[in-house]
Amino acid sequence: MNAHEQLLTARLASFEAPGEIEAGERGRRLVLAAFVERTPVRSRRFHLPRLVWPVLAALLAASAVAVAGFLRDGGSPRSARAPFGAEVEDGVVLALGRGVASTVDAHGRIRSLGPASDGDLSPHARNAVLASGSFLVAVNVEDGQVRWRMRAPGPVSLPRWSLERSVPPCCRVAYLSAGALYAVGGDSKGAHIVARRALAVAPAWRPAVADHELAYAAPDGVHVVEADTRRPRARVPGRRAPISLSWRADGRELAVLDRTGATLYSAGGERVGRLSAHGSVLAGGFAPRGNRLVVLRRDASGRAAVLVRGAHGPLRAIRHLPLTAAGDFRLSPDGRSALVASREGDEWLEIRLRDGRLRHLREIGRRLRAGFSPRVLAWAG
Amino acid sequence: MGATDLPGGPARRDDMGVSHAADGSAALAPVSAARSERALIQAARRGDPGAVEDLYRRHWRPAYRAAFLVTRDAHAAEDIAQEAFLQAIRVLDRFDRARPFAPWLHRIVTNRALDWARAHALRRPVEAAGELAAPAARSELSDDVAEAIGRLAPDQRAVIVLRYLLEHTPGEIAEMLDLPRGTVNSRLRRALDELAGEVTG
Repeated sequence: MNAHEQLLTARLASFEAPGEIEAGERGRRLVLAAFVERTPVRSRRFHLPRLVWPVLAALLAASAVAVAGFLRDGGSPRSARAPFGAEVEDGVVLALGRGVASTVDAHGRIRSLGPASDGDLSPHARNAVLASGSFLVAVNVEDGQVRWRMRAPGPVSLPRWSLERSVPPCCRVAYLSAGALYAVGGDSKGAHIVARRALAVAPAWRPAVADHELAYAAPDGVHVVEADTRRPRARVPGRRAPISLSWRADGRELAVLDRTGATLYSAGGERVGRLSAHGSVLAGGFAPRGNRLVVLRRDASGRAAVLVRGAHGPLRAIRHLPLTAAGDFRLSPDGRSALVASREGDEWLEIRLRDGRLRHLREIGRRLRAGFSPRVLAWAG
Repeated sequence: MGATDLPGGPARRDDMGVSHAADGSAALAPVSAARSERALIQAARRGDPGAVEDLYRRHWRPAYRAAFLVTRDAHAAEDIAQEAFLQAIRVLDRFDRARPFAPWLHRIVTNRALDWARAHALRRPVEAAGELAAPAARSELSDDVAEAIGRLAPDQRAVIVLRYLLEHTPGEIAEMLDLPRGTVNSRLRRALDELAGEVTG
């Protein structure tokens, strides 16, 4: 080091960051509490004959390259890249807390995307579209860079990215603003009104069709239209107020969820069947892959439960959840899991739909630095 | 790289385990140098909270200061440093005792801080437009050198902090940031040129 560098080292050695004592004390308590809560793994000692060790050493040497890579990452396969631990088992989750949207992926990587009140992910989770006041903002998930930003007539809500698994400008984004439904190209071009009156229910893009067909809820029922031309494709009368619209992965069936259950319609608008949830429906929809219809319900006792229906039959409860106040409900991109944001504790619950296995993602808001129990806006990838 | 010793002096501990400096303010107490880091990690793996506390006291301030110098945000620095320690707790049982703890921790802290600073820099033009304002709590930099470091690009801040605060070699920095060594050297050189006036002045 030259004199200049030595001086810099000396100056930095005496530097004190603001709030370091208080922050250090808070951190100390937190770290010790986390340590006490953890289950220690007791190391087992094997007493092997001396001659065995050279053999073991030779065997280990064969995997030296892999071991070296492991150690380079700090002794943990994910340590350097994923300091926060894996939060979800598959894909990317778009979360919202403290007014800031962020993504967390299966490797535990967290990326802050910017201020938002609502949002959605593109099917590959390469882009996010955020509602922020009267602006619709598209952000590259990988680097957090704003791709484009456009002003809407009023506050934007419920943006939904269409389902093409390729990059803009192929796709569309539907969104609600000032009581109307709009659509815009994935490159921010061609924004236009789709319907002058729309209810505050997330519009649903129809999968597996070439044109951009969109289901939305209006005061007179649920409509299916071609978003670019506004040409009507189907309409079902609104006997019950819808709370959620969802297409089956093959695009052949539309589920309209209301407070008591789900009504299934063909793509042409014919009623196919009615499924009762035997309780109050909180959220739900078809899984992005396969035939599963999944519903989050609150029963008479106030407990939340996850109900699943396969290709046929009624909705069946697969898991009662240890909470009564459930927030957002999202299905994994592979259709195998559901994520429920608790509104009682700072946690998300991940439920495996095959067998109802439950995983608690505790202190999720603190880990994502996103306030108390952040919202789950989307799950894609 | 030597772990930075924590400043301390005569201290007492209250019944919460919080140590207090002679002037009565809460402070982190110095740790016994007698216990080696390897021994501390081994003890922590056996479930000894005292060992974890010692490790924390040894490494908290460098980690927090590094995160602060890169992010220039006290809240972000606290979150980043805390999360790094929590990650250490989580992987304790898998941690390689033969390796020093500090570089592992510094790698996590610096990369997280760098990610934060880059994301924040990218968001700034949007916030500046006034439509999407999300005021971040930011602490003022009181030190001239720290202030000058704050004016560097995030990538330069990271290498300066790793080299001159945490005292890693350029080779170690290259490995930590996954960069060619030449890139580290050129960033250091450019950053030093920009800091020249502040350091000597």
